[in-house]
Amino acid sequence: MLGAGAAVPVALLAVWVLSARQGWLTEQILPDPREVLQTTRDYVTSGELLADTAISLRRVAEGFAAGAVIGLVIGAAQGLSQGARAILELPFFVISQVPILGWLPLLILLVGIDEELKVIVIAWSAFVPVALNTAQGMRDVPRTLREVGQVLTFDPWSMLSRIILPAALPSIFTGLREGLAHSWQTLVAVELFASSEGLGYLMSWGRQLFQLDIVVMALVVVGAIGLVLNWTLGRVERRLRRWQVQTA
Amino acid sequence: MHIPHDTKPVLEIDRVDKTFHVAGRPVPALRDVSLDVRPGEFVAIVGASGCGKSTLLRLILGLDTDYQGEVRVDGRRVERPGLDRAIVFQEPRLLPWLSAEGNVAMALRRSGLPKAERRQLVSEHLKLVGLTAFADAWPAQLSGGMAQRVALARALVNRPRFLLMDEPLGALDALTRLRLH
Amino acid sequence: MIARLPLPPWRPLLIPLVVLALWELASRAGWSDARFLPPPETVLHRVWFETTQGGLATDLAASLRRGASGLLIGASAGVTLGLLLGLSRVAERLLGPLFLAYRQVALFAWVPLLSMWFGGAEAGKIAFISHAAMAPAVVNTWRGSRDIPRAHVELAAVLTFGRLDFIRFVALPGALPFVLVGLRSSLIYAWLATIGAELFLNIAPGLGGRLNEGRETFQMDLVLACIVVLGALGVAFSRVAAIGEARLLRRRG
Repeated sequence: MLGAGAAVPVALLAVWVLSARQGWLTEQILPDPREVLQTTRDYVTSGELLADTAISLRRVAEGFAAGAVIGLVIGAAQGLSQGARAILELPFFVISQVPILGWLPLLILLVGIDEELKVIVIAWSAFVPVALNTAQGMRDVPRTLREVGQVLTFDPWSMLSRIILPAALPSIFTGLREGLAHSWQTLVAVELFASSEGLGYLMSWGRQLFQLDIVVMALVVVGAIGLVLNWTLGRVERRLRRWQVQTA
Repeated sequence: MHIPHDTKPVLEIDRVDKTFHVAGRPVPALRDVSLDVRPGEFVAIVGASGCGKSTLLRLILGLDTDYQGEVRVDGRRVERPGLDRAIVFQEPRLLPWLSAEGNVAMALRRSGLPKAERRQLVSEHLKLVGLTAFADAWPAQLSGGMAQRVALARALVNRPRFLLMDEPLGALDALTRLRLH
Repeated sequence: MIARLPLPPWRPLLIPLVVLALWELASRAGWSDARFLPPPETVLHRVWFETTQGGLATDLAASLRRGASGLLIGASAGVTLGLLLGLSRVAERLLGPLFLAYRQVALFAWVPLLSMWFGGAEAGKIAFISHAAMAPAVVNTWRGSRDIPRAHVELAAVLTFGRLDFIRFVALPGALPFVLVGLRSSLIYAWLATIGAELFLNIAPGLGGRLNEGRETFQMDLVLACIVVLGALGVAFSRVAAIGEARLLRRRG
């Protein structure tokens, strides 16, 4: 499987190297891959790349954690209580219609462009999918399973922890995965727009200096991290869902 | 076993009326149903599909409290489910994220028994339904009949006074039936 | 349990009304600085003013046009690619992993690169928006066209359908629900990309540019007015998308 899938990327890579060597590519379109490698080496040895990556990761961690926790709580409220759902559904819906980045100017005016801004925006982008999926997951717990809990005289806490939560877990996890993906996306956007450090800033800086090698380097790192985040959560999810025997 | 007729009934269904409301229209499910069950009796309710058998069972269980009339156990009104009344539903309704063993053990959660005793009860009842070898299997890996047997073990593990069974159908073979207490 | 009683219909309005009341109160009582939180009437007035005289309509039209172009290009490219990946095992094995890897790169990470290639040209913005719209369309169409029931495939063979007929009469209708889900996502992302790009590249005319203007000149009422418009638009999009979906799926029977 890896063999066939790698064919096209490898071919593209070869074309890239060739074009650079033959001079078909100008610096403005795509830098020489060797330059990108060299720049990467420089940035790694100077520690700058690591520092920027660490900053970006920290922001995502904080933002995602905050957003996910609040999302779980609000989502659970909406999923478990008809009343809560009735009250929260409409405002939630309307607010989530505004693209996340649309809130940015308002937030900048209110809290400036410090760390709080980034964490807030990232938290918000994680909050929406987590809340939605959690609410859905809890609401969709089949009545048949709920009745099993009732017949076994479960108190509300047992009901929640033994039946509703496990049943809703797949949906909750989907929400968490989406939330993390959104968090990462938003982080990059915010760092491009309003930051003086981090991977997004690195990219924007490279752009300003017309140094595409920096931009490409940062791009690759951004993609790699996105991949790792996604893959990790996928593994955790699969482990939690062992009981779902998949048909081939 | 002969049960003298003057023995007090342990389960009384007293002029029960139940009407559902479907899309604004009333659908009567039970009308003036009365029944007494004495200790040790085995009662089978036979009727055409949709005649209200499952509904009656739910009332006895205490899953549904919206009806006219009374359902009494030992003379006391049934208000909510209790571990004295266990049910095997039409579908096994096993919790898919727990093993067979886990599902049976789940029924003992509210029993207040010590862990060792619970484990003992679980393995006894799995043995009773002949599924000791499948204790660690996920419900998704069990056939319909096997899952229903786990559901039966789950219903029996609390040693209920009343065992209700809602059309378990051919899920139980005669041999298994014989093994019941 | 007991039959569900119909819920009091005022509940959805509870939070909006409370927020509005608090907001109004804060402005009147002087708790809030009018520069940071202009009273609701000011914002509404600004919305009205901008729409009728202030050129917000032009900005809105520009944003919508941009977004629509990008969406159209991106979604059609996406559905096509998705069909290719779903229907052709070869294409899937060759291009699939590449696409999935490329998808990992955060959307806005492409902005610096695209802005270098296209400069400030409109084409660059549309390219970005198309990009944003493409990925969800691909993924969902791919999934939808991948596992067409054997029965349908065999039916098509029996009726001697050619490749194109197969796509038209079997694959596409079968994948339709998935495609629609993908298109919904495409719409959301295309719009996000539109506003985002306008914000970052300070493009005018456009809603994003207007938002920026409000921020740079500390006109909170303008910023809030733009947000109100964005919210209203988002709700409108959702409704339209839902109705469109319902119509298309109903015809399938």
